[in-house]
Amino acid sequence: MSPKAKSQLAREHLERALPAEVADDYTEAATWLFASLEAAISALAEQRGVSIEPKHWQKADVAKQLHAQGDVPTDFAPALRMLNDARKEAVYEGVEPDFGGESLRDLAAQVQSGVDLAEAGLP
Amino acid sequence: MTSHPRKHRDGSLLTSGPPSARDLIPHPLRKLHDAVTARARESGAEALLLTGSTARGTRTAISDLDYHLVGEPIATDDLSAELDLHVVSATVLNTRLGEGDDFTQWSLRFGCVVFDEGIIKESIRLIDEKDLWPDPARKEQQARKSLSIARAMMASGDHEAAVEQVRTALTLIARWRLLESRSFPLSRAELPAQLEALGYMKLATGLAATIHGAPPLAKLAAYVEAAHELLDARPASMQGTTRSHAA
Repeated sequence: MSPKAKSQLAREHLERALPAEVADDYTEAATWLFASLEAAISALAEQRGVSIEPKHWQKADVAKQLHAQGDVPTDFAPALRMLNDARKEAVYEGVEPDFGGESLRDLAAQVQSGVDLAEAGLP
Repeated sequence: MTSHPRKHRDGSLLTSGPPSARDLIPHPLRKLHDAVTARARESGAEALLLTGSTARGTRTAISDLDYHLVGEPIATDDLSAELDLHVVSATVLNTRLGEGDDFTQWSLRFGCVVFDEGIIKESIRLIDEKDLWPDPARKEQQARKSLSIARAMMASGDHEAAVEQVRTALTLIARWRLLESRSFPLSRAELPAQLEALGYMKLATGLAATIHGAPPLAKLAAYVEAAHELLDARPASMQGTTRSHAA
């Protein structure tokens, strides 16, 4: 079985995250939203031939780079960092994450736009 | 600035003498450390601790640069995403200490003080005086949840995310079992040796494999199954003289 495309994984992870967001299950929601956005960024990077490293902070740097060079209209790096912090707080400490003034719903909308971009493909 | 003598029967608490926090940080990350320290001081923070594997001198290829900041949040958007800054108020720090949060105690026991206006010293005194120990039941709950997500992540076919999620679940199970056994969990890279000492050989093997590499999905599935069996087994601290565990 060949591996799924990153854009497909991004969509599938998002579909898992959205019901969790509605149910206020912040551990599930933050984990799947983060995985979805990372997969979307990886898909976009592949489309631009940008090599992507496994470390989370390197993916955030790639997200910033894609925005800086005009490939994507949004800098997804802050959302990636926020979701990474949130999932760690939820998973390791078992506390409701601090989204820094944003809501899970806001973050989910940002992830949705990243997934849409990855699926549509860069011009 | 207060001094922090090494003390505690469960292992060292804090280092305030050599090596300094800065000495523990790899050269390429020292500018980042200096920026965090300066901003924390400017913000009027009560304390800054270097934590995680860097504080223990056990960094791996997947390590971030972790801090515990007691005070108000500081700007970090322009800093490397390698930074993992955990911010709490003094009130929240005390609350989490009282609630049995192991992450808070970890920072207090093993973190390296960058600066402290007194809150850290006072918290350590509380741990010592009241013999505070993290609540293993909290860890068990988190471990169960995390293992369930790990299974789903493996089923998704996202290998990279599955490795991470399995590592997370195994780490939480390790911390739970160690806390149950009154052995304080050290940094992630040190957990496999701690587990082996308690006889949790399969868990130690699985965790080490996910820390130092990216095992294929079939291997991950085997680690998860072994971990699942362990979750349903009695903790080591309740098993008399038996020191070897199938999972």
